[in-house]
Amino acid sequence: MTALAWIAGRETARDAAIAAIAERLVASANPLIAGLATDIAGAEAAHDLARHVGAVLDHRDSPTLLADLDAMRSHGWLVTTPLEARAMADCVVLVGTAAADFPLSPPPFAPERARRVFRLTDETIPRTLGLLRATLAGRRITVPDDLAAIAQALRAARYAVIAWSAAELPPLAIEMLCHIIEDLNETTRCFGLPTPPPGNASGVAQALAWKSGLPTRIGFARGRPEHDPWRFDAARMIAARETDCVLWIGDGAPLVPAGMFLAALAPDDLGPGQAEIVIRTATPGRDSDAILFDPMIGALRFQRATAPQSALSPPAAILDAIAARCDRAVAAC
Amino acid sequence: MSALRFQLREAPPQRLDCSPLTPDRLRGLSLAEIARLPLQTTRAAITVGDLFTIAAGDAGTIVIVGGSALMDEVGAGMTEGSITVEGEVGIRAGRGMRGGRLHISGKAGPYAASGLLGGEIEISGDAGDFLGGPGPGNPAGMAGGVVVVRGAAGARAGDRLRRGVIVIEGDSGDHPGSRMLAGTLVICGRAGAAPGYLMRRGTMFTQYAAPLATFSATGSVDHVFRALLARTLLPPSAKIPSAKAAALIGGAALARFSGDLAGLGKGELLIADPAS
Repeated sequence: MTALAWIAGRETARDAAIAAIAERLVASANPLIAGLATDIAGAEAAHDLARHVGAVLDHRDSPTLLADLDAMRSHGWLVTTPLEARAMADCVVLVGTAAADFPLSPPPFAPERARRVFRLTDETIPRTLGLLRATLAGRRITVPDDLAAIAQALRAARYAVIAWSAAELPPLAIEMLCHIIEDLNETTRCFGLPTPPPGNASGVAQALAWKSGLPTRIGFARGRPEHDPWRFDAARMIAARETDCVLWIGDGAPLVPAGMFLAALAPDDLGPGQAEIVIRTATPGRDSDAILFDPMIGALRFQRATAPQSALSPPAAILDAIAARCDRAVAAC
Repeated sequence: MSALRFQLREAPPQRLDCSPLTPDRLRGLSLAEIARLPLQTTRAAITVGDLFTIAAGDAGTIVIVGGSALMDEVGAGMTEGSITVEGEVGIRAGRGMRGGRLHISGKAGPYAASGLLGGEIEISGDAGDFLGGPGPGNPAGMAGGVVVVRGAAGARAGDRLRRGVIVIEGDSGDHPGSRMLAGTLVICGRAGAAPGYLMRRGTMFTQYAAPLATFSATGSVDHVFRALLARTLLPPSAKIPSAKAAALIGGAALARFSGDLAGLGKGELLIADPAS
């Protein structure tokens, strides 16, 4: 049987590793539970554990999640889903290089209309978007021909879609896009199509919101949930040594400075020596059944395990076991 | 009566929430009660008395000797009196202040004067990003009061500014005056890239800036308005005088640009030395 847990690089029983992590979490002054590349049950269990021990929660894709969220919560936005966009859009503008290619076939719900697809890529996208919005508003400004063509197509479209990825656009540029979409909706239809971070990041963000009422980067140390995108940035906290105990969920565990405790609940691609304690978990959706965010429909969806492995526990089960051990550790004090 | 003094004895072991140390919240408390006030932001409890030596005095005049970049929210929510910090502070100094005066002799971290509503803040050193900007998830930026930074400021100073005056005597980072709705932002040095991005209204003065293509040159302003505004930044009318800001505003001719034409475009960018 393959090993499932390691302490200091040596194989150990999984229960011993779970107990050791619980002990460190309970003893820590400012524990951090981060990574959070997991399914909905894992996110809920991580939230419950963090609330229980007064830890900070941060997702590894928080910068991307928060860039989109900032535009949404400070200005508001009109967005659609990829499926709807494919069915309806007769004009698509892909902003940046990360937004996925779009099929050129005519929209099935409006087959008489040809679909036009543009891609905007240059080094100064925020400035270009400003010029595009000024052109759409009818300002007398000279713009390059290709940008004028995009403006013309957006105005003429019956259902336009503007796609972007927050991983490569600054929040101000996303806000400019949201303004463009809002302006266009005065005369025609236009929707945004944000590209969510890969994996289940958007699902985790939703789970944190329904559990705590707050978006990613939440602290529970003072007995109530607090949201602070600056203070609860896991990378910043680790670099500034503001935490002494890191529990990383999912792959991509960070390097921590000497003296800082790191435990990882990781799928099979993490070597046992990369953290002081490593517990191998199932990959939700592959090894175990899971509820995950489906970017195509922009909603949560049940995913049956594609290659079930009963020997591996999903992250949620291990997090629940850690929380149960924390109870016992607290009771023993 | 002399000031109520807090002397920091050692570097704080964690980030501190210093919002309890304002005249509003300390008035009427005994020294023993003040010493028991919690400042922690983590699970490890820490009180005022654990870190500071307190010398009795008038709670309306607070002096904190020995600052730290870990001291967050200094003066947050204060409505009256004064706080002087001899040293640096962490994030969100003076957040949501409604009145009174906060002076920081060192530098301030990001989000200083966040959502300021009234009162005066003077930062003798540099300020971090989002000076006067909205707090996380809050759509409203600074809506009143005066901020003077003697050093430089980080990115997006005056983000979503609605009312009040921000003076930066040094340079500013990129995107100063982003999403400005109204109010006045003065950058006596060099404005960073893309000043006034998504600016709707308001006035931004700067010594040097390269305006965006969505700002159009609209002549110069040699208006009586400049002389009047300059006078409000000098004694005796200024609560925190800035001779540098008054010299820029009331001095040589300024080129005027209107924008951001991507949006409403009623903002004005007044530049002494515009880059072409």
